[in-house]
Amino acid sequence: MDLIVFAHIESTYQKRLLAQLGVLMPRDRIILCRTVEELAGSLMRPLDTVLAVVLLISQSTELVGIISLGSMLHDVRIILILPAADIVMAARALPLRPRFVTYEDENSDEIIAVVAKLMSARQKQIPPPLCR
Amino acid sequence: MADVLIVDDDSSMCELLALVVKRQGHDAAVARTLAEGLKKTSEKDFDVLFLDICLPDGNGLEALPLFNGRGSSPEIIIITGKGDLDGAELAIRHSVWDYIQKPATIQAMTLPFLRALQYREEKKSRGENSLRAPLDREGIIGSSPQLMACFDLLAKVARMDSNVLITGETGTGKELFALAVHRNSKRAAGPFVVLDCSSIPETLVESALFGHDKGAFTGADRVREGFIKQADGGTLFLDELGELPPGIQKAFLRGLQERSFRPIGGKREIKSDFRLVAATNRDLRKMVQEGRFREDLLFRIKNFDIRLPPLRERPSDIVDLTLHHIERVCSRYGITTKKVSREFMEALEAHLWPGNVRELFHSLERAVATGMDSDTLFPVHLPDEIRIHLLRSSIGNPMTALERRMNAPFTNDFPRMKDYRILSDTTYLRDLLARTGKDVKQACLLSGLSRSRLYALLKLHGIAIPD
Repeated sequence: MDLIVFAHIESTYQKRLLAQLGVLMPRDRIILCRTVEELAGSLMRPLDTVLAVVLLISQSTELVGIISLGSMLHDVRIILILPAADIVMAARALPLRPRFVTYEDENSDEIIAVVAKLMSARQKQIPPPLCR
Repeated sequence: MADVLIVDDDSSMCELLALVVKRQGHDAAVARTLAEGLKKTSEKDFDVLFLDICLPDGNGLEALPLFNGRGSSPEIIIITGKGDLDGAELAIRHSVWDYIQKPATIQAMTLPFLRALQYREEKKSRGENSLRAPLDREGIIGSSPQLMACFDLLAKVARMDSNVLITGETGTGKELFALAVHRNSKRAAGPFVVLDCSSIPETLVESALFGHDKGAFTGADRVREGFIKQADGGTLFLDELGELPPGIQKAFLRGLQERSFRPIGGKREIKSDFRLVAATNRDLRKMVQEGRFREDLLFRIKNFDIRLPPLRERPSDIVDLTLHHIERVCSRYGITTKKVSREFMEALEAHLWPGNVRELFHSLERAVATGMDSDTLFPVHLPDEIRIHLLRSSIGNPMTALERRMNAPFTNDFPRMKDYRILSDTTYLRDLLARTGKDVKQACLLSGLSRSRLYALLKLHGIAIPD
């Protein structure tokens, strides 16, 4: 199960987040995308292999680009990290139907807790076989 | 003058009901079996339907979605000599008008009939006649009677501003229905905010819902707006409501009642005009009995309950869902939409889909990925676990999807002989491989086929060729 992380800019926050995620799951399961095109490419696969998509947004243009992906993102769980205290951008991001929203100036431990919860929930979700 | 249909195999009951109807100046038609009743409702619009439960060719309750799905959506009055609580509950869930137990007096049958007619007339005068109101149902695929009944309910609740509870197994599309409630409501221009209680750790749910003030707790360096405030003027969708921590249920109930709340660490009340749509796959009534969910919160949320049927209860939607999703996946991959073989579709229809539409979609995504080089999808492209389940079930129960369809009541789609032969050949070959443990030599001996002929047939029917 892969975790896709979109981060256009390399930042201290992003480095710390990736390091924390690396403790939670194997590094080769974390797919880092630097552009919207890379993000779109990473979604060209069966989406049940994607645990969630973490979107680290630094500018509103990135958000617009991601929203333009439209239905490609409808079937994945999105965790959104926005620039500090940007309530306007938070409202603009609502069409993405994020599972969790936080801000870059907040504790990244929250993201780790959410990803851990998703991992555990996914384990429980596998339905028992049932045939006619 | 209204048109009434009586579906009952008891001739004296039919005569009595026809008398009741005609005395009130209306027309009555009679059907002795479900099949005859369904045929009549497909030929003519009826206003009221008296429906018996125990009929020679099936159970009237099980046919409710089919009658409800008819163009005129008649008001249905159940008449039965075998009343039971589960049956009554099922009837209510399908919006039947009344549930009358035999023996019943003429008066006991006349009153609900007249009330149903009055309701029908009022509905017609409001413009809610046989034609269903147009709905924005983007992303919700299917036209089975079961799904159409959900749309009817959705159309009613969307116009109101009441809280809605959507229940159904995991993967039935509860979030899409919640979004449809929002899109078809007067709040459609407002925000649709999702809080998935199963995705967020208990410690974060309160802050996510209510927000917090600066300094409310360690790490709260500034004010944060919660989802309830974000949903102001729109809809708050609480997914997996059964996971809402007990400690937060009381505070949320208060916010729901008063449409105002206090952020964590906040000193003043904040107003938010939101509509709540909640969803769960849990039995909240049972959770209430076990003390894990507040009864008053359940009471407050459950103004309307939309129960989404599992995919196994609406198998007629599998074809539409499949074609829609394959087109979507192929578009995502930037490739030409793949064709689907009849055997592939048969295999999908034969599976029970315990994970519902989500499982179907995931399987289709895998099939497209596996069959990337093929123009047409065959059963061989399906995930192994599904093919194995199908094979196992065919060993224990060799009836194919086609046979089930043929044996099912009320169906008119009798297959062409060519199609039937293809499917029976597929079943035979699967059984043959199962019986011989995929031993080709044994399979040739048992079937009388040559090795090359066996391989050719397996390939033709999309069955994996043994090593």
